[in-house]
Amino acid sequence: MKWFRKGSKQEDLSLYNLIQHFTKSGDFIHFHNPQSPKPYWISYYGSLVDAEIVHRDILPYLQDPNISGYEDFQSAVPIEKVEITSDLETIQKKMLAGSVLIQFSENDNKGALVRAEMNKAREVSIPEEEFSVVGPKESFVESLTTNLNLIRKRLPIPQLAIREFTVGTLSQTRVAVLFIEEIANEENINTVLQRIGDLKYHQILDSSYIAQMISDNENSPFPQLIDTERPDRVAGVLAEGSIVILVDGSPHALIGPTTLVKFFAALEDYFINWQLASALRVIRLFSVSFSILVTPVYVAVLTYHYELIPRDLMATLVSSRSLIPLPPFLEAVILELTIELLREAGARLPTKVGQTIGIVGGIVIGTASVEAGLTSNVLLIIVALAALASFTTPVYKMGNSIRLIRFPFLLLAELWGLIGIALAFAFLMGHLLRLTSFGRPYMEPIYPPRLEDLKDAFIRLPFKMQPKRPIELQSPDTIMFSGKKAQEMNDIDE
Amino acid sequence: MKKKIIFFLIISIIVAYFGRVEKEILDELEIATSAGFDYKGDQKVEATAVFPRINPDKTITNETLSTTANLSKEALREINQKSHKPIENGKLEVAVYNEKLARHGIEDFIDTFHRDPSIGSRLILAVVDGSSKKILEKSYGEFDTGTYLQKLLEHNMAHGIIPTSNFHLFLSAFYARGMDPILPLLELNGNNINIKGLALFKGPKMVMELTEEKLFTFKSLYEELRLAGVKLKTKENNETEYFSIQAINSKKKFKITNVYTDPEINIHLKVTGSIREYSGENVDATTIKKAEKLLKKKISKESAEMIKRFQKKRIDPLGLGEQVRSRTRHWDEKKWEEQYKNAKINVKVEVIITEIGVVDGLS
Repeated sequence: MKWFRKGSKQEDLSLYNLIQHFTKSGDFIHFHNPQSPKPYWISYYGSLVDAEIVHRDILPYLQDPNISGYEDFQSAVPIEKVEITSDLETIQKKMLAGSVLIQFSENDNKGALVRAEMNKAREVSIPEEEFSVVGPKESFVESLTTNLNLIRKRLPIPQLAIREFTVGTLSQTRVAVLFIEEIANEENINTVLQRIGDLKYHQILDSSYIAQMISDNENSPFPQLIDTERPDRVAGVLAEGSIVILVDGSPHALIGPTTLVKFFAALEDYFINWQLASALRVIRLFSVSFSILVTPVYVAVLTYHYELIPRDLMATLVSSRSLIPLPPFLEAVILELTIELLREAGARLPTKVGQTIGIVGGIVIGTASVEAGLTSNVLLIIVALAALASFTTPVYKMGNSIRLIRFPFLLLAELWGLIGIALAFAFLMGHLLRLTSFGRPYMEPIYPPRLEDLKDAFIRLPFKMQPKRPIELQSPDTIMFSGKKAQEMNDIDE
Repeated sequence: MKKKIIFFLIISIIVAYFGRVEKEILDELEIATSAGFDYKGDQKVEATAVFPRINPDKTITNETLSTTANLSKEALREINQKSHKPIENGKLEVAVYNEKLARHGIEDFIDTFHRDPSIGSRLILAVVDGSSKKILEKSYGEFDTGTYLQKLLEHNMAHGIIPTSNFHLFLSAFYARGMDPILPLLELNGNNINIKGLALFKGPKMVMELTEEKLFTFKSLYEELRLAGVKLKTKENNETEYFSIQAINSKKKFKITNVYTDPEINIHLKVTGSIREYSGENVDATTIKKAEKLLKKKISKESAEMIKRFQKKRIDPLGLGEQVRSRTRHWDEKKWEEQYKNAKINVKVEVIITEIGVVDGLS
């Protein structure tokens, strides 16, 4: 909008000049039809407007001999809102959003704006990052309108509130904040609205921009907002009292406030029975701690604490390491970096080539380096398992954080052995305990300890045992449903 | 912020540099699994260390190094001089002393192990009849000698007739008032290690030996039997019959009367087991009665004899003094030692044969 302001100083502000300026752009269409009963000028951005609408719903009415002015046109056109305005700023904004400007005289200072924007969005498809075997298979797309539709369909209640913002001086991105009135905590809502309102950035390409900019601690490696591509998850957390942020052009919704354990809860946990879901969650949490700790413990034990190795394992470890020229730390770092390299290469390459990389890296390099005596096969198993275990996190960004925090652990394990690991763990705990998500504690329900919230943290108890909303979210309406059993009905036969 | 980072860096560099810990990388160590000590004259001990050499093809060879020195830690240093990798004692499984040394007292050796933080309290101690060096130098099967000895002793302690004994139990018996330590006694028999019996200590010195046949009774009095086995022999009508009683479990109860004046100790022993093999014709109700009677007789006879010997030697491996102490206020050790010599100790045995096998032959 800079040019406009700059131009407004020099040139006189007229619609004619504005349109003249627009015509410099190659995709701007501005033509005059003098043959029609009432001659008209039509101007729009060809790249933003759906030609079908122009041909079907606008042009036939302009040819109509009954139309003599803007008001006639406004009532004749079958499009919900035709705006007649002379406000240059509105005209400019609307035209850049895909409206068509109709004028009956070239020098007229006003015109009729007709919405005819082209909606080219990807089809709603199957979620890829958060795929679940059972349950709905819809995922968000890049269009905010479609995404809102997906959510509204799941929560057809008037209390579902949507607050819209426009963020980004250049990108003019629409950002929507969703919550359910009387369920979401007022304080949380205000925090989110205020933080988004205060955002100053030129371009928002994805919701992760917002996530990084409104996080409580921007320097933490841990994500403080869950990002999800599943509308069903969004509907679920909205009903619990969370706040959801949707960004136009991004297929990921942001959920907050959240806690650490929620990052390890997959949506599928709610689709299968609670015993199985609890077991899977425990496995997931175990595999995450395994992924972080196993290589550092290997390094610490082999470098400092040979006493801890069981006698029967000693032969395996010593024989696998006896020909390795590197100390355990270097051996582990090199292998970890190799795995990271494979992962990164696999992520950057197209799917089909990526698979080949996996095979080449995993099998060929792995086997060859063991045979060449560069790495021990025990460590190869450990590192590969740790990499595999880090993929069990349902939220992709959390998986990345877990990849990262393994390295400080490794370094401290090399320096002080198990004491170093304990130290790193203490640092990690200190950091996690200090983290907040929209001002709510990140380590809840462990600290502050809340028994009620533990019902859906490390394990998931049956639905009927959780009639209350999570304390974490401080919802004013704590009861989700009445925990009492439905009155037992007699069988029809009796 | 900048100050904070610099401060943090300086602190971490200082801590990382001055807080270094000595590295002990696993494959650059010789890890001793067993140590043996032999008496070599006045104040001299021959120490032998056993360590498995793990070859790249995962086979294990048994390596030993020995040296003669005055102190065991000095011996370790001297052995280190002979080895191409530093020898570490953190995974010591078994320590053996020869009988001569044990009779001379093993106080010094116990003490150094006790104070060494890298020695575990599940270390198994044993006394060897003969030379411990000879026993350790031999290799037995796929294991190194330390592992072999540990496995041999451990399973015999869990399900056999050797009383449970390790460094921790030895120390507690050693330092407890009213109790004396015991250790298993081993001997080399051809290519095998045999359990010869039990070495009984008075303080740090071995004073008495109990043969292997008595171990069954001893263990049932000392602790509880778990799935042990015993052979019974009887002569009837000029025909020798053998019973094999297996899966024997036992429980004991102490009842002590007159604790303040003249303690009388009653040990109530309850033994259950099953007949697995019988050299006679059929196993029937009378056989069971017979076996019960025999076992009862064996245990009561042996235990009475055994306890008398203990009293004569003034040792208390069964921890009877401990039992009395726990029932007495202001227990006097000296007074007890006087009383123990002539204390009345009765063992009451109750034997129940619970089954005779899968097929119930009783009709």
